[in-house]
Amino acid sequence: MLIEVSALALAACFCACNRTNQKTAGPPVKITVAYATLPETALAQVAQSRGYYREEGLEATAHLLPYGKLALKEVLEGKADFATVAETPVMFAIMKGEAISIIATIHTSSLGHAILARRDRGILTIGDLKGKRIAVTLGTTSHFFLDAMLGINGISRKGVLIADVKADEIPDALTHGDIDAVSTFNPYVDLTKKKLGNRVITFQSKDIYRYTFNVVATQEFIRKNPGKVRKMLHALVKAEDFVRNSPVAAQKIVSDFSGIEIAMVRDIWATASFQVILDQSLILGLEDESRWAISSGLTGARKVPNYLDYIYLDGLKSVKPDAVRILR
Amino acid sequence: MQIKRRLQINVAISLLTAIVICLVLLLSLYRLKKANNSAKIAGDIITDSLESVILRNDYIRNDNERAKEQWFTKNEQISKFLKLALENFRNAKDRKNIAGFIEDQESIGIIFSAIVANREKSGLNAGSGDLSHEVEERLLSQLDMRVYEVAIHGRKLLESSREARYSALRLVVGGVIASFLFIIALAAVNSWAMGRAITDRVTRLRDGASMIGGGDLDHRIEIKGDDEFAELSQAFNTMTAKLRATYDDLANEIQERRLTEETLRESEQNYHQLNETLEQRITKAVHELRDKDRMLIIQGRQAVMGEMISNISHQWRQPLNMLGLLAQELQATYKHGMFSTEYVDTNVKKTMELIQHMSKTIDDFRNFFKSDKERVRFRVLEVIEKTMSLLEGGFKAHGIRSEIKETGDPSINGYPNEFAQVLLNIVSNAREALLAAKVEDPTITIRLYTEGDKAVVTISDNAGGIPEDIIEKIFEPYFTTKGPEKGTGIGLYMSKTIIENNMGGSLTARNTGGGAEFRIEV
Repeated sequence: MLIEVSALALAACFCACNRTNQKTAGPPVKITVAYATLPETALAQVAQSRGYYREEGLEATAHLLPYGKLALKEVLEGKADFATVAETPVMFAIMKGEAISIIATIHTSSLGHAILARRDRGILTIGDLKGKRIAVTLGTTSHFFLDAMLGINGISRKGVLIADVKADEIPDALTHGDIDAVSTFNPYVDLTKKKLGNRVITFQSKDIYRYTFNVVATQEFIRKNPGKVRKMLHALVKAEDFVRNSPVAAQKIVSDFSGIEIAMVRDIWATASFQVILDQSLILGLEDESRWAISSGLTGARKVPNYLDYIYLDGLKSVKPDAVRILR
Repeated sequence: MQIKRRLQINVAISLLTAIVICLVLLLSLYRLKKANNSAKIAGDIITDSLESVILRNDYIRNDNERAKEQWFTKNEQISKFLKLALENFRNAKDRKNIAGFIEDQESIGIIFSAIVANREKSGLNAGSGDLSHEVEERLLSQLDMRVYEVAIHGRKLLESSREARYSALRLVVGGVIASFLFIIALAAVNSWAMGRAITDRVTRLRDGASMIGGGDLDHRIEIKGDDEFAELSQAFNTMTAKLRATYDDLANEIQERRLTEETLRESEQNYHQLNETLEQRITKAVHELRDKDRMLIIQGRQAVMGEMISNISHQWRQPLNMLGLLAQELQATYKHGMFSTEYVDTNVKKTMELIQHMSKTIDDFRNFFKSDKERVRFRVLEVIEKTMSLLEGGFKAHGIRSEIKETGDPSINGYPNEFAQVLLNIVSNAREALLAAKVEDPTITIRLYTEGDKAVVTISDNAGGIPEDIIEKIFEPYFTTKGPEKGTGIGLYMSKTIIENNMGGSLTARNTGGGAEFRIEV
């Protein structure tokens, strides 16, 4: 009996060891990932830094970009296989007719966007924004956030002057230009605050906007490379485990990867959820933003798309079934 | 440790395990109850959240004031449940989930308030006014997102409750199984240890017993521990030591006995040698005695012959006197001329008769002393009469009366001449006693009769008997009361030898009223 127990224990150990050190047979498969170097893409950064892609048999080439819209552009232009991007650029691309699909949401947060206004321009309440010139990166989450904040506070879209400014130029735009206020996302919120100090007033709300960061690929790529997608997702799930279990180490990785100060990363971390999921809120958000884009005339489309056609469920279902909360 | 103590520890551990199982069960019941409470709270929250969605829809669709009030009440109730949940769910993950839930619930309240405010501010119903409508749409989308989040939070709470219940059940099952495994493991270890201890000890005892049984009484069983086996081993060693001492004593005793036996054997050998020497000496002595006996018998016979010669002389005296008288009468007759042929014939006839009588007397004595060659059957009375006839002359000369009283005529197997010599000895002794006693009417009486299949002859006299102090010695050789000139002391000894050794009978003597009586029984 002792021998049997020992044999079982050895067999179990052998299996466990095999599972732990499991390597995908064959040479690594090349992929290109366009990263928005933002804390929101922490899972993708951790997967890259900790070699989880490699473990899954992927040789990942990173394209680092300041924000998600540009990363998505890389995918749309065929320069990258995957992009990490918030839902708003994705919504615009789909409304524009791009055949892309969201593979997974890797970040969710209700905080991270803000309207920063210069006090010296007489802006002390959000109502003071009426008639002011507000810089925003059009087609991004900051654009949607700005519109929501204004609408909630009874300011019509036409009641302000909108200037399209690249996200990484937002802090300088508020400092030097004739811009009265900016609507942006992290880390540019913190960079702007840091740059202007007490000269800015911040308007934020966690109740009017829930945004996500997602991994996106073209539908053609997904159709042709379901294995790469699964491997990508496996690597992201590993990263999720690491982030949950070793948040400090993960923050360090993100800080190093994206070049953002660790303290800033920690602040963002506190209000964010880093989980690989596909839930119904994503669709709700996309639809909401689609209606906003239509009503704002930001898109030529007149109809909210059926986003079920733009979310690839099978990949995550095969990797992390419980995380898929979208019915189809 | 003593086996008894080990068993006591086993019992104590079993009791302790039972207590642990009870505690685990109680703890599990407590956790189960708490998990059920948590599940109920989670269920209430989910139900309330669903009801709040219905109320919200009712409000949005109908602009129903009642629905708005109920929604706020429901929202407040959900907040209370969430606070209650925060007290019940102690797990960090759950608390984080509840914190997110509360946050989303607060957002829901804020967004719904914003929707209400948007409607009241615009003074229009939903759908009137582009901005208000757009704002409401957006807020409703955000609200739905939060509701969805809340649903997920609620689901997580339910899962957590279910997990807590499973955990409680696992605790029960695991605790009981672990306790049993612990008991089994402990029992196994204890049994193994006890078995090993007992086996070792029993083996030591067995080996020790085997060695001691094999004769090694100096072997001592190794004593380990302080249990009953140690005591048994100690007792065994003590027993072995005593056995050793006993064995040594026995060995010494055996040695002593061996020495004694050797001594005895030597003594026996000496004894045998001595015995052989003694036998040789006895044989020699017997031979010597037999030689002496022969000499004695010869002497006795010679004495008897002397006696017989005396008797012959008595027997011959009468006829010799008669012959003398016949010779003198022949001379006188011749002188007186009365000598005639008839007279001579008569005288010669008488002389010849006397001579023949004397010749017959000689023949009788010669036959008397003729040795018997072999056993023959003879009439006892005939031998008695013949013997008494030989002694008749001597008796008459001394005035001794003899009489034979026979009853029947028994015959016996034996040696008649030797039997006659015995009678002659006894009767001669009686005559001597009678002569010495000088009694009036000296009489010798011989009785013959039969007792059973035996012939009995008694010779009695009236000479006063044998003195009691010598009556036991009269048959011993060389014992005589007559003095060396008259007796040899051989007669009665020789007679007893003849009757008892040669003829298988018995010869005894006793005193009767007036004299001695000798009894021959053959």
